[in-house]
Formats: sequence, structure tokens, C-alpha cells
Amino acid sequence: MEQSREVPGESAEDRAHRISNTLTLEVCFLAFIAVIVVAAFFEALSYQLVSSRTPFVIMAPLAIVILIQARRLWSLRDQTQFKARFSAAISGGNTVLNKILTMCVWMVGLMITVVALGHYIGIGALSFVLMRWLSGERLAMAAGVAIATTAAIFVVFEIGFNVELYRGLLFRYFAGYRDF
Amino acid sequence: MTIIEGMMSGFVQSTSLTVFPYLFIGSLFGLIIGVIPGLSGHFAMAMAVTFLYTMEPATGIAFILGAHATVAQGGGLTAILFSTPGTGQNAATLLDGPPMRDKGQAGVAVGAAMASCFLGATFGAIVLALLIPVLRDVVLFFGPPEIFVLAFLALTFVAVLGKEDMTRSLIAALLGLLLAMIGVDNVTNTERFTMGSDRLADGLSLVPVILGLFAVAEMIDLWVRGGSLAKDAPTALSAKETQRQIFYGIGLAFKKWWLVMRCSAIGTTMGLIPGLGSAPAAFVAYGHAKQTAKDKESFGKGNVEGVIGAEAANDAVEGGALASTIAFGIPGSSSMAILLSGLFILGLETGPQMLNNNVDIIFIMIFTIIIGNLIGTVFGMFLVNPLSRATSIRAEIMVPILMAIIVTGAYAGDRSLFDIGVALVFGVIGYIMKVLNYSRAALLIGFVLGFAVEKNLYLALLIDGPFFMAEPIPAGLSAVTALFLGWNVWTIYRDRKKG
Repeated sequence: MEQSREVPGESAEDRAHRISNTLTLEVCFLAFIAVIVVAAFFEALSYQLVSSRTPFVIMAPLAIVILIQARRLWSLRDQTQFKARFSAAISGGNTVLNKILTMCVWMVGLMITVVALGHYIGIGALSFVLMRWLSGERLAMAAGVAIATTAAIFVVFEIGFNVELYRGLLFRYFAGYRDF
Repeated sequence: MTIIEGMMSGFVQSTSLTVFPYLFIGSLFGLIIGVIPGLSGHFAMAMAVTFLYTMEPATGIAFILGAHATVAQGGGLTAILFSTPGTGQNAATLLDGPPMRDKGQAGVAVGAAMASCFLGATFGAIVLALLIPVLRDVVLFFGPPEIFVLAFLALTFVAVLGKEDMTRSLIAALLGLLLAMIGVDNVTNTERFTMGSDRLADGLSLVPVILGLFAVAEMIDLWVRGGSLAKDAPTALSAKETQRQIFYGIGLAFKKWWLVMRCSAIGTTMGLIPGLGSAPAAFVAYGHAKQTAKDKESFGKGNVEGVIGAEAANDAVEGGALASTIAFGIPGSSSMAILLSGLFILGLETGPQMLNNNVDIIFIMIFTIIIGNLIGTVFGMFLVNPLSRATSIRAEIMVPILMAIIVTGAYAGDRSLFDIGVALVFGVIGYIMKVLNYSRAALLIGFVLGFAVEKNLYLALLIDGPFFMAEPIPAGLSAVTALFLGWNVWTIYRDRKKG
């Protein structure tokens, strides 16, 4: 499989860790897809045949290839060390995963800030947070880039393309809107 | 509209003051994105597609295709100067570009690569123009049953011929089709897989899905990798010597016009086959250039013919890829799937409608490819050193800037906060797919084709009943699909048995 390819300069132990981490991630990802397909199958049973026909035509081969891939993963179970890798990931022992999760949390924070305080405050503040606190950039650099990016987006979208970006729940509330 | 009328109108429109500035900005944008390793043509198009909502069809096409046209040129530049291909399609340029640089001929390689890109793209565009009358006749044989089967054939090609693992790519393709089923069914008006959400009644919007899969996912990847985008610091060339070498390199590409023509023909032909893409075309063309050369031993040690062959094929692919996308509405690559989404956004329809009534639009595409590549060549020539500095921007600075633009682009399409969420969720999914070697291109093509598959299945059953697959063309295409898939499965089984 692709994951078993050798990376130049990688030790045998690191390679084994990388492979088992990737396989563990794939087991989780495939399980996620399988759950979605099963849920979609039961949901489709409740539709008229005309509406459920195409989803069934798609789901039948999809279920087969998922099973084939699951079989391939099962044959590599001795390399997976699923429980150990999963526990290590949950307890924060996987630095790459931690970095990805940090990014995910940042994205959720961005989404919440945009909804609450508006697009410009959201992208400005969260760009600054990402550069300053999560990447350790210099204060002047982080602030300068965040302000310049926000200003450029204002010019391109609001002035250039006449797109009014979201002002945020707070702004809309004080502006008298009650429909958000 | 006749072809001559379409050609004249296409030329006038693409060079008009209302369209040309967009073409210019798009080309420059694509060149810069191409220079930056890690950001690909998909990324450039995904970013460009967000601006299409407010554009006229001609300006929109010029902008998005201009961005796509120059990505390979930028990628070739970094492949030669830093041994880091800006995009995957420039991998073949690594074989002879860096050795030429090491011999002190970096400018020659850059000039030859830029000119070959331009000539290859022009060749592909001319082939596309010549194919229009043929496609007009061929497309008449393709009704709903044929399109339905052709969609599955294209998906199979993409899944099998793509660089990713076949089983995983098939999962991605079918998952893409399933995702396209979300929303109100056009026949019965039943809401499907919406989980009661009004936001999902119209299905998942294309733009946030594209942005998530190809832009947010790349940002997560850059964030995880961190550091400078190019590993080695750019070595600035002396301006005067660089220009002299570049002009010499351009001259070499024109001097070796027969090689350029042959490699461009390879690229265009391979572009017609869904799923192959530019990277394999460039390697095949490189192999052809080596095979037909007098001094085969010098290949891999800095032979300019290796650069010319790979780069000409690289850009010639687009003409072929556009032909199948325009004629049948079946994209053969993720870039073409994004372009097709762009055409939907601009209110354009592919197939007979475009081939007969919107020939001017096809010629705008053709002239955009040619003019875009010309712009890329000129800017690539004169801005080698400033452009190469773009590679030293650190990911820690690049990611927040691009994420801000992506999030804004996701919102701007339908003015929907929900779409920002969709982009972010698909970003995580896209990143996982990238790490696990699942084809994002197959998922996107499946998603884009989902509507056409369902509509054509419904119409095929209505017109020909349940035995529509027994008609000659659908039966032939189904047989090709089954044989192709079966042969590949058998090859894998045989190799495993040997191993």
C-alpha cells in the first residue's frame, strides 16, 4: 500500500509509527464513511422508489468497494496497532494530529467570531491569533499582515465586487434587526 | 452561429477592454500560485471560482481559465530554479531542469520551458478549435443513456488512471456521486438526506465544496508542514545574464519546433482521456523526446530537449481536456470539474447547446489559453527573480492570509454563513483524503456529475425503458468500462501473486 513506501532518511521505528498512524486514521475514516452510507441507506428506504433509485445505484458499488478496502486494512492489522495508536492520539501523543486539531479549533473559533462579530473582525482577529499566538510571529508583523489582509478583502469584495460581507449578530442587533 | 463568426466574436471579446483586464489579472494570479510549491492549478481555480458570481460569462471564463493557463508555467520556473515543482504536473521538468541550472544554464532552461508552455498551449487550443465541427456531429449520438454510461466510464478512468490508489479513488468517486444526491429530488420534489435542514434543500453548494477540498485542505497541509514553502533559499541570478539566457532558451524552443509539435500532440491526445492529466503526459513526452534524441545519454544531465518536451506536453493537455468537458459535460480532471462548475455559475450549458449556440464562448476559452500563456511567458521572462522570491514566504504568514480569502470566497457566493462551515468541514475531509491517498479529484468529479447522472438515468429509463443499456453505444461504453476495470483489477491481482 501507499503508506508503506519508504521515505528517505526515515528510521525503521519512525516508518513503523507513520504506517500505523496512517492505517489507524484510515480505519477511522473508512468507518466514518461506512456509517454515513448505512445511515443514507436506511434514510433512502423511506423515499419513493423514483427518488431512492439513483442513491441505491450508487450505494451498491460503494458498499462493495468499502468492504474491499476494509478487507485490505484487515489484512494489515498486525501493522496497525489500532488501540495503541488511537490511545496515543486521544491522549495528545501525536504531534501532527495536535497541530491539525489546533487548526480545526482555530477554524471553529473563526466561524463563531464571524457569526457573532462579523466577517472583518473575524478574519482580522483570527488571522492575528494564528500568526501571533499559534505561530509565534512578531507582533508588528502579525498585526500588519492581519490589518492589510482585512483591508484588501474589504477593497476587493465590498468595493470591487459590491459584495456586502456579514456584519455579525451583534452589529445587526444594535442596528435594529431582529431577524438574524 | 458559424465557426468563423464564433472565432471572430471570441477574439474581439477576449481582447476587449472589459474582458482583457480579467484575463490579465487571472494569468498573473495563476503564475504566482504556480510558483508557490504546494499550491496547484486546482487551488488557483478554486480561488478564482469564488469571484464568478458577479461576472459576465466572457469575463468569468477569461479570469478562471487565465488563472489555470499559467499555473504550469510558474510551476516549471520553480522546478528549474529550486528543484521543487510548483505543481505536480511539472515533476518531469525536474529531470533536466535542475541539472541545466547546475551547469549555469538556468536562464536557458526557464526560457525554453516558458516558450514550450506557450507553444504547447497554443497547439492544444488550435486542436480544440479544429475539433469543434467533429464534436458537433459526434455529440448528436449522445443522448441520456449514452451520457449516463459515459459519466461512469469517465469516473472509472479518473479512479483507475489517477495517481491515487484505485479502490480508494472508486470510494471517493462514488461518495462524490452520493453527496450530489443531497437536496430536493427534481422528479418527486422529495427532500433527500437534508436532515431537515432548509440550507441543504438546494444541495451542497459547489463553491464551498471546491474551496474546502482543494484550498482549505492545502492550507491545513501547509500549516502542518510549516516553515518556508521552498526548502532552499532562492539564488538570485544576475539580471543581464538571465535575460540573455532566457532569450536564447526561447529561441531554442522555436528552433526545435518539430519536437514541440510531437510532444504537444502527445499532451493533447492524453488530455482527451479522462483521468490521465498533465503529469503522465509530461513524462510520456519526456520519454518520447529522449527516445528520438541523438544523444540519449545527456538526458537527465541537463538536456534542453527534456525540458522542452515535458513543458510542451504539460500545457497542450488543456486543449484535449477542454474538448471532452465542453462536448459532453464530462470533466476528466479536477481542474475541468472546477471549470465546469464555473460554467454552471456563469449560466452556461455544455454539450450541443454550447457547440452550436455559444461557439464564441469556446473561442474565448481558446484565445484565453493562448493569450494567458503569452502573458505568463512575458512575465515569467522578466520577473524570474521577483517571482522566485514568492517561494520564500513562510507558511505561517501565507496560511492566515489565504484562509481569510478562502473564507470570504466561501461566503460571497450565496452570502451564506453555512457555506463557510461547509468549506471548513470539506477542508478537513480533503486533508484526510490527501494524507490517505483518496482521490479528491474523483470525489469532486463525482459530485459535479451527480446531477447529470441522475437526470440522464431518469430520462434514459423514460425513453428506452430498463433495457437502455442494451443500445449499441451504451452497451459498448459499458463493455469498455467493465473491461478496463476488470483488466486493472486482474493486473493488480497478478502483480500481488507475483510479489
